[in-house]
Amino acid sequence: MSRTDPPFMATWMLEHWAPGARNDALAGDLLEEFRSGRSTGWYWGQVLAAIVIGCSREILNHRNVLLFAVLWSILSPSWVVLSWNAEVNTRAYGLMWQMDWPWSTLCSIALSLATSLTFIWSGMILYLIPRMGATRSFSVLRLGRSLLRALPMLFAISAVPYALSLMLSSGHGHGIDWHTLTPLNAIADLRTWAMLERLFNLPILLYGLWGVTPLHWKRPEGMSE
Amino acid sequence: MADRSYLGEFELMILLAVIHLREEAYGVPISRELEAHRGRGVSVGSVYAALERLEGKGLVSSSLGDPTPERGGKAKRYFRVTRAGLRQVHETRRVLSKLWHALPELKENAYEPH
Repeated sequence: MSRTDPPFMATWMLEHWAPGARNDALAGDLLEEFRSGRSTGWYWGQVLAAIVIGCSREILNHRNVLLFAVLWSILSPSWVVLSWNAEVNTRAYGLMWQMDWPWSTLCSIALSLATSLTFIWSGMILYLIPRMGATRSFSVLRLGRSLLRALPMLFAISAVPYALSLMLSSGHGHGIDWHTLTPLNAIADLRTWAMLERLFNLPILLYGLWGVTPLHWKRPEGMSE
Repeated sequence: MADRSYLGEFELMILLAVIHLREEAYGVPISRELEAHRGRGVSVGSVYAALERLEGKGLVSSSLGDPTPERGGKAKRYFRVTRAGLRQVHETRRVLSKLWHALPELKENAYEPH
């Protein structure tokens, strides 16, 4: 590293970790100052401050998304109970487990994914449609794109809740009586299974909603905040 | 259209620096101007965050300059105060001037707070 080059790691962190649309100009400013005699310590301080400020602003700008995702995730155990009750009362559910391996397992995975996806997408639609309406920016394409954002995250994280649900639905030693547990009781449930359900749905919802709201939607001219 | 809320201290300082620097108002000189007048260091990131807020309110506008080698090929972003921004600065000065009229002189033991 020569004196004209700032610390590589700091520059990399600025480029990758500091959220914001103006990072190129900011990086250029910091480089210009560094080359005009500022110290390495100054450069590091500026980069760390930019990351902290950028992240704080990002969270502040998405506070509605954050609040909604937390509230919606709290409801997820209730959805598990609702969907479980619906599934076990269908004929297809019984047929699924009569299939040979691996079809029974594949069907079970597909069912678990569909259940999670329905919950995530319902939340996203509930959040996005009123906001798109308010900003007069509704389009099916935009909504579809937003919903698709959640898919990769769902596939990435779904292995854990799936394993969890298999373990819990077997019912051995967990003290959960699925036949008597009501959706309303499940909201107030603070046992490990319910908390893990919430924990896994929260990042998927956040990821799905984060990039599409609210800064990327410009209000039409003449509309006030 | 800017809203009627008054400017924060830091935002006001940045607007005044942008007005003062005229055509040369980009991140580095704005930060230096603030450092010189405040007498302490300033985070360039916080300057940009405030400028983004001001731009969102329609009080400043920005445009990109040409990339230069001494900045690693990165362009400068120049800021200008809009008419709404200038109006907001005047309004803030008017209100603050009125309030400053009641400011007592700072003399040794002369001022007892109520």
